[in-house]
Amino acid sequence: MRVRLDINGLDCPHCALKLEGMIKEHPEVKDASINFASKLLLVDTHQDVDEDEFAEKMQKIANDFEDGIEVSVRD
Amino acid sequence: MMLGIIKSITPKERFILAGSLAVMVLLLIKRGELPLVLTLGLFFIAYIAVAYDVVISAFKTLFIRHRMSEQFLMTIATFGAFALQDYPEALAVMIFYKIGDIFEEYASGKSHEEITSLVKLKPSFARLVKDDGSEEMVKPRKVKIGDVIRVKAGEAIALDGVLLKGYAQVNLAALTGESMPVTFKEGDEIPSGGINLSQVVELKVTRNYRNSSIARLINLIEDAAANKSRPEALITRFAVWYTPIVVACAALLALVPLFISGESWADWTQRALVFLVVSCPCALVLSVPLSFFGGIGAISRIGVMVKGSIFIENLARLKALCFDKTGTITYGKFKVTEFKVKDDKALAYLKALEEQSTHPLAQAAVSFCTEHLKGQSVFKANEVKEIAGFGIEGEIDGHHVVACSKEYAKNLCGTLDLSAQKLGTEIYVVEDHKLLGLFVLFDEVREDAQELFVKLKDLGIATAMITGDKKEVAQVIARELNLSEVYAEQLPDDKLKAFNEIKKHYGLVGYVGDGINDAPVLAASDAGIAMGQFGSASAVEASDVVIMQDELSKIAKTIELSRKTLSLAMQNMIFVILAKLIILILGALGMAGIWLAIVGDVGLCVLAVLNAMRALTWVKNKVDLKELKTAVV
Repeated sequence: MRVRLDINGLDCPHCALKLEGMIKEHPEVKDASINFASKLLLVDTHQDVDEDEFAEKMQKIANDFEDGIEVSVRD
Repeated sequence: MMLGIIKSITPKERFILAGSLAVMVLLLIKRGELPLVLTLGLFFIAYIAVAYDVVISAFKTLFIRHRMSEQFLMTIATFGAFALQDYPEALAVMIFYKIGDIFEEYASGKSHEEITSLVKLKPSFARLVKDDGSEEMVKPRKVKIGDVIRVKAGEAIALDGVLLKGYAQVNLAALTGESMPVTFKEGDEIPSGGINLSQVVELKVTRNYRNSSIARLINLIEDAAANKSRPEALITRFAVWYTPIVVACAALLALVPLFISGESWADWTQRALVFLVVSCPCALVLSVPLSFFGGIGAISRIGVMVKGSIFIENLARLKALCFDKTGTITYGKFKVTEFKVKDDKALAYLKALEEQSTHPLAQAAVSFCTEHLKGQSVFKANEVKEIAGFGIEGEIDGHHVVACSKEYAKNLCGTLDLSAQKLGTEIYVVEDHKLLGLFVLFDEVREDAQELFVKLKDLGIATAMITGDKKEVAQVIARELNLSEVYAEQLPDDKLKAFNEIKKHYGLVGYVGDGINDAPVLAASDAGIAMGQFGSASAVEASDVVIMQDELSKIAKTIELSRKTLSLAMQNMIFVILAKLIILILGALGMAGIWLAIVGDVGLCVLAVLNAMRALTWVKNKVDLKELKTAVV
């Protein structure tokens, strides 16, 4: 399943790369990519997930990475 | 633009940056002249004001998350400069680091805004009509299928829906790149993303927001970043190793005097600082993907969707392009191009027979006859039977009538005293062994096909046609359009084989089809281009590039823009890597000071990003909301 999340507050494009690497290690995540320019976190998950719950999990990873990053479900 | 950047930060930040910049300049020109206490006092005030958040965040990340962030590296660099008593340099590292940051933020925000006219058209609300006729403004994703929404003149249509009554003039430029308004009538489905140019209309929603045209399109473009091109993949790998290696080198440089006696600590510390300052690969990591992102945005404005930067790269390097014939090079609609009749009855007979068939040829024949007969002498055919592969027969008005191929007609009549001049599919009408007339039907070549093939030749791209149609027909078209190769009479399974043969010969090969029966070839190609009126989900799924309106000539334009995009990305990549390498080498040799490093790093970032943003200006935005609103009567 493809989940599209807004990601705000990232410091720099290569921090985005690092965070992307961390998200890829999450067991539910098949693939992930952050588009720094469009502030989009695109995640392909192995199984169908509840988007809001999933966004919270991603928020947790972001919190472990840096302060001030906000992850939310894209409208 | 400068104004835009300045506006993007708060007055407080502006004040701090300007203030610390002034202190930096003062310390620089009065170096050694001011009393030490005053120098230190000014330095600390400015440094704390500009750097406290960076320093705090740096140590937080280090102690809580056990990670060296780039903020930490910058902090170390300023400490180093301070230790060397290079006070203005210490300030400069921090100030320009922040300016670079602000610039990156601005560039990414700006590009996101400008990348597509779509984002501007992304509907932020819908007017939901309630049972009592009153309306409520809601978020588009809250609207359900079957709900009725109201769209006022000049507003974007938020969700796909069927027009409830009357007519609507809609500008679909965001979806198709075509700014001529399209007229919809009652019962038609209007795609979201269009702008209503007529009076207030009401739509019954047919798809929820998530699956609506505009949302699918925006996702297509934004997801495109996930299909990384080779330069982007290279940059990603480079970036992962770059920082640790440069930082390790910095550490080694700082330790040199420990091993070589007589070397000055200050000198080598300075060399190490140069490395720290340029240790962030930001300019690279932002500018290359930004180039591709901008390219995808520019291409979207001519009504072509590219599903990833990898396909931009493939399109740019394309050696050959294969085409399906029916529906791609041709309109896919047969037309009568020639007819010879001994008796007008032939028209009426043909119509009566072919009315019973669903073949595309039959439909073309019927519409032609209907037009020519203008309602006179209508017959009814009985006992109509298909003669598989040859034609159709039946009983009309007491006669045995056959509409058939040349061979079959020859068998019936012996010799044929009519013959066709034009090329195409021939239909002979025979009444009781008597030839009555002959019709030639042809699937016409698209108007803009010629233009496309001339342009492709100019671009140095070989062209081939793969079709299931007859050799003669295929060859005529190929000669007319000057195609390099033709593969005719190919069954659907053979198409892939023919394609692979071409691919073996040329390398990078694209395929253009309608996405309906050539999905395997589309998938096998390096760039599968689908011609598809917007909304054909199968075409969008199977292909890498979607031409939103059936305009062949847009393919050449897309390839041109792809080439521009790729060269822009390569330019940025080579420029940034070279510049960083030169600074590093000069720094290691002790020939580059901290100033050069700062200019090299932040200046580079600004230049590369500005260069990448050029892509946004290649295609002028066709949808100008303000202009549209004034155009509404």
